[in-house]
Amino acid sequence: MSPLLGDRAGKGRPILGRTRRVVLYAAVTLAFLLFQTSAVYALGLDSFRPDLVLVLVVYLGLKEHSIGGALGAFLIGYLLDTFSGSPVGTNALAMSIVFLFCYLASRRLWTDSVVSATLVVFLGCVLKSSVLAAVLGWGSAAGSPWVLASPVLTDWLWATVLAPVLFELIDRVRRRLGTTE
Amino acid sequence: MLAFIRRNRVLLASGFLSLLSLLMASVNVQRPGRIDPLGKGLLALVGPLQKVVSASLLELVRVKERYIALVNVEKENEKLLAELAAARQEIVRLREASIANERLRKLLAFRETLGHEVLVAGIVGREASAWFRAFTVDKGEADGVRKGMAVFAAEGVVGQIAATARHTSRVLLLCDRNSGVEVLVQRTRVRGVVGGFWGGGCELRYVGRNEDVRKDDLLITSGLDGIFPKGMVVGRVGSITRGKGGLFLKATVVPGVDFDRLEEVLITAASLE
Repeated sequence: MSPLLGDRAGKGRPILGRTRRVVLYAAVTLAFLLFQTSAVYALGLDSFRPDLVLVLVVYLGLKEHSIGGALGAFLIGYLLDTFSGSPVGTNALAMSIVFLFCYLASRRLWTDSVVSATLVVFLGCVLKSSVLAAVLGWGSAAGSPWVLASPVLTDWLWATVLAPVLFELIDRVRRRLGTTE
Repeated sequence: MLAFIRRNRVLLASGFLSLLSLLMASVNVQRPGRIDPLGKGLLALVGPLQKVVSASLLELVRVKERYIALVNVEKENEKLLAELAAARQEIVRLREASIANERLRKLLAFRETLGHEVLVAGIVGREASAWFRAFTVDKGEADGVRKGMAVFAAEGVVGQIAATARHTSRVLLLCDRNSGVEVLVQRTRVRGVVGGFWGGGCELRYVGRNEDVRKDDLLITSGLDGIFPKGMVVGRVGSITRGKGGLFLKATVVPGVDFDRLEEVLITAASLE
């Protein structure tokens, strides 16, 4: 193996391993964002709108205990703000808080199992929705908060169901790229 | 202090970014777009990708829809083809019925002109070899058919009954080499005999070399053979050969009846009676 590339575990060249991780997360973010903002509508799957980007932020909170992870969560939220109708900073705030919550949870709880990770994703969904509701003002949404309840709950459900699969997928890609710590 | 920061760097960074976001959000809620340092760049970066993904997926959906539409068209096409085949079959059946109707109408009219009791018989079998010219009809002794009875079609003489069974009979055709029907040339009243020859054609026999017979002269039954009533069409004179020697001329006859297209015939014993 070339010393420039590092070994499969990414230990030979930590900087190269970190760069790979950044590229991987950027690619995954882009793919999830494109799925959420374009593919779902183009394919006519309007009711199937899992918050994949949130799942990625939870993943970062659980696995990337670094400033880069926090920055990543912020940038992901910012990116979402750019492509949604929310005031810039709203999603960035929600994602940063979700990251913080997941980070703290992973430090105090055992979150490596599928069940606990899924639970954290669900709580992350609740937290994100709560932050958005607080910032945007829940009561102002079309007169009644329950107008949003159904689609939001559906999004939570899909994200929670898909989370273990997506976690496993990202883990596998990371192992393949040799970017696991 | 530095150790505390290092130990809690993620927490601090995350907290800082949360506060930054809160600041941005609170400002932008009041005045949208006031603090948005990266928005333009991100939009420029990701926007085209969104466009590509949307366009590609929409095209994919369109292709899928077109494919489904094609599958439906194919199914519809198959159904329509089946209906068309059934309709064609029906047309053929109706046309067949119409033709049969016309044929039977002619036979009926002809039967009335005969003024005798006649039987209508359908042809159920044809000669299997080239040696003879005969066919089988679906009327036999049980229906009153007897050997030697005359067989006609609306267009003229067909032949005569050569053999009978209980429910079927064998008809020897005019163009069989064993057949012989006494005829008159209608125009000149010259007598002769029309019979078949090898190969299935008909000829006019026993007419003098110098008799007045021309191509296309109509030949009718003379009624003297005791089988066929007088005046039935037999055919028309075809080519004529008058040799230098011999007593008789040689003439082919084009039968009035197309034997290959016959489906029903009339049988009568009028002459025998």
